[in-house]
Amino acid sequence: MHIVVVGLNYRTAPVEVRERFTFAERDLPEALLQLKQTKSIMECVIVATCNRTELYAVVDRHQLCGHYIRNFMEQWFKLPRQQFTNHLYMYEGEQAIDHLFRVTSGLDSMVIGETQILGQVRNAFLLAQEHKTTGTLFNMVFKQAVTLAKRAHSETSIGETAVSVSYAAVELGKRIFGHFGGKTVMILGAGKMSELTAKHLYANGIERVIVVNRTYDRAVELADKFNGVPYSMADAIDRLHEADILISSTGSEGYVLNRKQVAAAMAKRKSRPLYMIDIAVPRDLDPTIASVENVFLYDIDDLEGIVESNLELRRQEAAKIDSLIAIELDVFRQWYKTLGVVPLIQALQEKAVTIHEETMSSLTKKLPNLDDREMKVIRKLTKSIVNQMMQDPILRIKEMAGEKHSDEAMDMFVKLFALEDTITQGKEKLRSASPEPHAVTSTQRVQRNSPSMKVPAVASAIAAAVTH
Amino acid sequence: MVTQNFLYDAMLIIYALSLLFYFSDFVDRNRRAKQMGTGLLIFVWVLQTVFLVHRIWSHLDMTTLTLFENLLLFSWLLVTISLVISRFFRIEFLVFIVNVVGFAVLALNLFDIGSGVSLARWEIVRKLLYAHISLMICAYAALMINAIFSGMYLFLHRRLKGKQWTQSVRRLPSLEMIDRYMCRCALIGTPLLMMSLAIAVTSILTEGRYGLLLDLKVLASLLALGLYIGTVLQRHWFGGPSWKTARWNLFSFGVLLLNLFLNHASSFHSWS
Repeated sequence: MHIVVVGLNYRTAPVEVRERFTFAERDLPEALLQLKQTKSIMECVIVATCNRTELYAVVDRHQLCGHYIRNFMEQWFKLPRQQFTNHLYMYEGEQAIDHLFRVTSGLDSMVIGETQILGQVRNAFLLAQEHKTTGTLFNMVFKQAVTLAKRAHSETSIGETAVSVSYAAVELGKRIFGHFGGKTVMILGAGKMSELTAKHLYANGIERVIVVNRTYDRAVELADKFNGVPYSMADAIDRLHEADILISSTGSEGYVLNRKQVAAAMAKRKSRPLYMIDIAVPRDLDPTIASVENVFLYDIDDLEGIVESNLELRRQEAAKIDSLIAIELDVFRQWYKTLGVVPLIQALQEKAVTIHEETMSSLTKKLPNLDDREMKVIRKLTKSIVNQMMQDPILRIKEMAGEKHSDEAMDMFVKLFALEDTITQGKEKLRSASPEPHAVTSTQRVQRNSPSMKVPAVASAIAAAVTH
Repeated sequence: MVTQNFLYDAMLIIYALSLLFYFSDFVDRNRRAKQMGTGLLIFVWVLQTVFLVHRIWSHLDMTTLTLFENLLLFSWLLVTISLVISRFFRIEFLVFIVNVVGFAVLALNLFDIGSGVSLARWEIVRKLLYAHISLMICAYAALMINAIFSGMYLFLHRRLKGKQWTQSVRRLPSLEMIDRYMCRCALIGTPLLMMSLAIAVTSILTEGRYGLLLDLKVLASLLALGLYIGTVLQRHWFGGPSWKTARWNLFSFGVLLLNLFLNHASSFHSWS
């Protein structure tokens, strides 16, 4: 069995390509079922977001699996593959799992460390699970990915810092005030950037908003959005001491506020600090204002510097998450190695039960005069002998399955206990219980008239044990 | 063994371990190290409490009061305050810095400073003396934390004014929060200091030893008190900038620390 992922994202495809290769939410269940019906596909999950479309699959053979998945995409999106194959990437095996872990942790996102993708991957997995397109492997891998991502976000600071100018302004404000409850913000100039910054501040608990604009109507319009108060510019200077935060983006050629005006306002504020954000180019606020006591003045360059510094921090935190991913990959490797031993143990137990039953049957014929109690005692004791004999080999094979030469060990186990026939019979039972998957060759819907394969991973493990 | 007492050794070693974990978190944010450090610190607090209770119980008549007990009580108080602040207010770095001081104070006892002052000759004013010492220790603890907050304020203020965006700026509490706790500690510590000194003066006057009022120790203590009162009034009545308040707090604490070392220069307030 192999895990593969085929997809495209914001790095490999521009938005005009991505928008043609996205799955609508209502179509996802049908897409999952059709993909599952595709030749060679045993399990599948589709992750479709605005920045990526990825098809995760467990395949029974890795040759041509990429071809079948591309075939599916061609037929689903009704577009020739030449239009998208250049934008596709494909990962297999551990690379595919590593990619999934990185995506879920936000390391592959446009804004590194964003947390939205965790919920999106989780929802994609739950949807696939609901529609029974996942099995043992994906149930393990996707749960591991989600748990890892949660750990990554709680144990590192990757998602904690602001990576946009407007949010950096909020973060800086929190360094000065802690929280914005009871604080007043004055917006000078009702432009888009100042509105966005004010929106973030308002969402963080700002109590009062004062809007000042050259055009009074525009000031009223913006003030209404925040239940604020509009003022004219002359009033603004008189009321400057009321503001704890001032955001300026007027588009004026010269300075809107000078040092003298601010110093006069600060005299009325006593020990309370004033946080001033100048996001205009050219600047609205005289830089010498920064020298006034208790005034913290930041312009657009300063905020962008903070954003860059935060991005750098996120990159450093990403390195910590890389080490977590390496540990989880190892955990998966160990778990996967032990997966193959389950059918062997089942086969051994089945064989032991068969021998026990045959022995008891023979005993009944040879000693027909034994009463129920005696039969019960003999059955119990002989079963105990069988279980005790099996105990150590089972424990040992479980240990050896996680070690270096596990395949040879399992092969030897099958030979030592002569389990070939039992395993073959088990494989045939499973094969007869589920239909053969077939390739999607038409655009018509495929009707599902048979139950889905229940434990494809075990069947593959049996196949691997027999053919090795 | 570092000392003659197993319990004291254990306290010191575990305290040092706790600080190592806190330091790990201080340098590079590490939630598990911080949890480990807090767990060990709580254990240190338990050991200190047991030690103190045992000490008090075995010296119930308290005829001898040593610097050892004073320092131990002071250290215990710092640990207690830091744990309470950590639990309810979650102020980054404060627990670490406070406990560096707490550990230093505990380690000072290794030098076996002073075998004690017999209180037998001070029977009449003994109760006043207990009150003076207790209040003074509490005042020192509150003003120590005030000094730490003042240092944090000046550090953060300088960084923000200078537009230096670093890890420590991200992790420190906000300027307003530091300012608030700095003022609160001053408002708690200054009256405690005032009451302690008032009791000391009363004790001196009760004994009729008026000359002691001109002792260097007494004068320095009154100077420190004056500085603190001035700082508090300047802030609350005149609304001066907080960074100036922080600076004055640090200066006042410096005088208070200096006052501590004036014991040997005092004619009566010495540990023999």
